[in-house]
Amino acid sequence: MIRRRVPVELPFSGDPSTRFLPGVIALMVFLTALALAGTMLLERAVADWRQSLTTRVTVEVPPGPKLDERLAAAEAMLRATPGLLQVRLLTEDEVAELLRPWLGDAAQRLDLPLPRLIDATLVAGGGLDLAGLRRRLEAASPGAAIDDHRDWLSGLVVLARGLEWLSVAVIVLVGASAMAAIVFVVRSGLAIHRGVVEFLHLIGAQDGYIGRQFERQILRLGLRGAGLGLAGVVIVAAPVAFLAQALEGPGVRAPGLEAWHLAVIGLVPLAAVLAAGVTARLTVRRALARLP
Amino acid sequence: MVVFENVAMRYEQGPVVLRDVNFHLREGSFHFLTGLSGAGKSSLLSLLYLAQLPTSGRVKLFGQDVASMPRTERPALRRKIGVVFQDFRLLDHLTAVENVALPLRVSGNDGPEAETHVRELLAWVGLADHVDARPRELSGGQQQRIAIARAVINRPLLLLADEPTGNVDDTTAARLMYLFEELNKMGTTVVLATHAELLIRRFDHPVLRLEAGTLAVDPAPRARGVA
Repeated sequence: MIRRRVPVELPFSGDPSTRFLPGVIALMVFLTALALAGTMLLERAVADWRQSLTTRVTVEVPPGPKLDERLAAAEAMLRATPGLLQVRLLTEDEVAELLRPWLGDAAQRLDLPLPRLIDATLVAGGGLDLAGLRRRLEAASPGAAIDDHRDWLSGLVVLARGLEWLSVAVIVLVGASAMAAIVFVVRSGLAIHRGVVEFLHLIGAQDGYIGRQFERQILRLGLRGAGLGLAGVVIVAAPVAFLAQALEGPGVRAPGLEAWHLAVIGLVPLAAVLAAGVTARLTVRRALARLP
Repeated sequence: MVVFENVAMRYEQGPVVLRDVNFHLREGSFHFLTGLSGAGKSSLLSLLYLAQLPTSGRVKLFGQDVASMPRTERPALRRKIGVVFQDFRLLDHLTAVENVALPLRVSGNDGPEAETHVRELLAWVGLADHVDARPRELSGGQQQRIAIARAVINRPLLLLADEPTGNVDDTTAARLMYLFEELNKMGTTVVLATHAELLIRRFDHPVLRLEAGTLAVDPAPRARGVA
């Protein structure tokens, strides 16, 4: 049958676009996937931090004379405070464990005057009066302090939000640049093959018939580029994910992505190819509409 | 079949290339279209095969006003028209069979029987031994015949040929004219643009004569088409 044997009427194989468009798409997929992964990591981190910010406080009882008495008084006062879900005194070993990342295994052997810590979980939405709690704590256990992490966590949240918006801006800019490149490629293809396009038009080809040949060409190039981009993401992300596991520690969750995050990132190449196809279709249809 | 009423045409903001053109071609007629270079022959043909629309006046093809009809309906109208371009416009990367089959592909009629039909037509124009050749491998006359085969593969109601004998020797020209007359006898309306007065005198058909953008019709003794 002629339909199977005849190649496309538009001979794209020699076009300059066939060389650079896959690279552009690959870069788009690579940068978008990385930016998206970064955004998701930050989003998850912000959520974790917010959780800590709103539901936990740490009471620090400084070392010194009558430490056990002051510790017992602080713990008793906390347990009697409404709005606290759980109050737990950290053992000396647990406190030393927190220092291990800085002092190493020697942390437990060193005879350092360490403060004692009480971890308290707040009832969500309980509206605990922290200022009042501070006053009562000072009265019950002089020198004890409450660290609600608010100061440094809120700074980090603002920074993370800023980085998220930066990632979104990168995604938008990269996407827009890639779409502009596709428009350029399609227009140059139309210019290069103008004679054939006009001829097909004159023998009664519908715009869709001509447009589909451009779309198929862009989709082919897009798929090639998307594959390259995805391979680049895997090559870069795999060692980063491995290294990130090393950050896991007491009270610190290793940065990582959930399955649905990976699924969304996996959709980036498909979205890029789809966007390329749609851009090509719109560009061709618009150009062909100028023919009588 | 074809009606031109007070047709004028210009390319964008350029000078008027056709002015007040009026004629009527009946179905099954055969006309020569002639005139000096720059008289407007190609412009008139471009109106006939819908590459251009009139700047003013009315062009009706197969009973339809081409300017007022929806753009999406024009492709169907174009498929009723076969065109032999002066420069052939064959696609270099396709074989003779593939070039001739193009109008069938475009119209979605490239079923299993199409290739047989295409090969028969190529044999009819004397190219049975060159079906798989690419245009670059063929002479000008052979390319011309591929262009003719491609123009008639869809059994067009109207066949337009722009200087089809311009680049071939007298023998080939006579053979091509024989092909056009055969197609005309089968019911195809033919308009053949040519400079060749000898050809016009030799064959008995009415003449559309263009001079500086205006048209005059010279009826032939046994003219069949000009109203």
